[in-house]
Amino acid sequence: MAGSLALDMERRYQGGAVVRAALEVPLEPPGVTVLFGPSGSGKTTILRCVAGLERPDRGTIRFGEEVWTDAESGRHVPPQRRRVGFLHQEPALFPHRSVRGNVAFGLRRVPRDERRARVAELLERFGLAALADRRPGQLSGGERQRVALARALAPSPRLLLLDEPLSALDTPTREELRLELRRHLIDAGVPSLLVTHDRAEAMVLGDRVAVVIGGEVRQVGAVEDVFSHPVDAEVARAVGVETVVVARVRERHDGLLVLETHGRRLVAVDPGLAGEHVLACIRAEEVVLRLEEPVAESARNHLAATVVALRREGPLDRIVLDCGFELTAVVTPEARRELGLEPGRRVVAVVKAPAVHCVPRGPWGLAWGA
Amino acid sequence: MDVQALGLTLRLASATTGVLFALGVPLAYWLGRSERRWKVLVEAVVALPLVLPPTVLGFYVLLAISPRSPIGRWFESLTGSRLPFTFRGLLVASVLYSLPFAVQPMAVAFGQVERRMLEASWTLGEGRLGTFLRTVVPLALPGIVTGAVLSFAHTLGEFGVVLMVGGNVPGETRTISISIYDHVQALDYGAAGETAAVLLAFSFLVLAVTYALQRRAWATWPGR
Repeated sequence: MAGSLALDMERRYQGGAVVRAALEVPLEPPGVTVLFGPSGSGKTTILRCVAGLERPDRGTIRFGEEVWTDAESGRHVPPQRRRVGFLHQEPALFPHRSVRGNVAFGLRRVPRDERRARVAELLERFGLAALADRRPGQLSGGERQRVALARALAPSPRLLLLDEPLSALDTPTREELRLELRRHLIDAGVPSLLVTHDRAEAMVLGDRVAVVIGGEVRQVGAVEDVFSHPVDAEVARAVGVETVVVARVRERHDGLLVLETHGRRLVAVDPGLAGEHVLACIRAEEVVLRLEEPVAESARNHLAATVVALRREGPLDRIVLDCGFELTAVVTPEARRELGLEPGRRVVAVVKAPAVHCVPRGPWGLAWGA
Repeated sequence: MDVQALGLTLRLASATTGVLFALGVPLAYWLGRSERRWKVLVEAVVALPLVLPPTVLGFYVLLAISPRSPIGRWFESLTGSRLPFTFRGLLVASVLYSLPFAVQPMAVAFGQVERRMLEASWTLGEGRLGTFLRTVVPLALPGIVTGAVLSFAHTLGEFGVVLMVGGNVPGETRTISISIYDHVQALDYGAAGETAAVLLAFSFLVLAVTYALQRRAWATWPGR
């Protein structure tokens, strides 16, 4: 049995805030599970309890066969013995040690030759070899976070915990590092739990998402499921209304991608992705509905669809369509009346190629973006 | 110049610093990082020598170590010697008198070590002692050095406590400040001036070196 990280815990704070988490994270295959939700929703608390840096007031935390925390019996395995890697929001590098010294920190009990080889290998893998003798104060934000990741991976942790690892960086660096981080997490082959409040980050980095709102885990599932099928209005508000489908790359030409998903063809702008699979994301606001196929039009994607369901959402109506996969659109009530949108009504959904946002995705063992 | 008094003073200052280092580091670590509410009481006790006149402190120490007090009796039964007007008695008084000078800078330095540094060390598999030695002490080193230097320098110049507890026994309790006082009383301004100048120069040198070391230490550890 591969086992899982299983949480069923509650942490109460002075002043009344309560964080509850019931969550099971499979450890095989070693994917990235994102704890996603607005700021202050309790994501970091959950992560710190898993690391053993905080103690839940009630409940249990299990890792495979091991019981890490059991509030009833008072059992609490200290962080030193959990063998997890932890990345703080601001990389907590030791300022008095060099890059090399930081990476080697957790390898004190490893024989010297082995330690040297391991550190050299990590510095190489993270592009830090040239910076090995620098102090953290002489590094850029992105370099620091790389050192922190290399340091956390050095003692071969069984689980990696990342608390908003990119949020302390400026925007261009953050976007650049996002894909790189995903690649490192996949290469490391360590199951990871990552906290973020950034949708783009959640989609790029995660395989699974757990949505945390108001101190509770509200929905858990594959990234594409959670983002396209939020369980309730509150989750929908947090994740944004969006269609996310796994698609296969059929063709690549002139900076465009031709995708295939559920027997349908989608044209998208290529953000420069390698690999065979992508997540195609279409925001509900960018889907135009019409009654018949146009004669000629600039928009590249015309999908024959059937209305499945309607839901009032604020001033707009949310329309769920079936066009081989489930596609969501939002329209004004006036448009809904004019088009006679009712369940069963046949329409054409129109989406421009640049409105199909592609996020890299690969089945396990399939290298991409490297 | 009274060379014997100078030697004795240096010996007293070194011994005081050594004892304060051993006592002060754990106490300062606790004061710097504990979140207990009654910590303020301990802080107040540690700071008392800053505000009490040395004569008051010396008076209580003298009472405490006198052969009639339980502590004095216990010490006499243990070692066969008495504490008042001896070097060892003087050492006890000096340690108490310089306690805040050692503990306060150390406690501040320990308190400033960020919690995430400790957490990073723990999650990398390092235990509490290892974390203290490999991470906390190096990060708090400027404060620890300052505490040690200040207690040394402060002991060099103490007067009131020495007079109360140690008296003026040459080679045993006559420190450099007592010697200066004696010279002035005897209207020997030349000898007093010489000794005072040595003390002034030495104190200045020690402090200057400390501050220089601190600046260097922080300059190589930027980024908080």
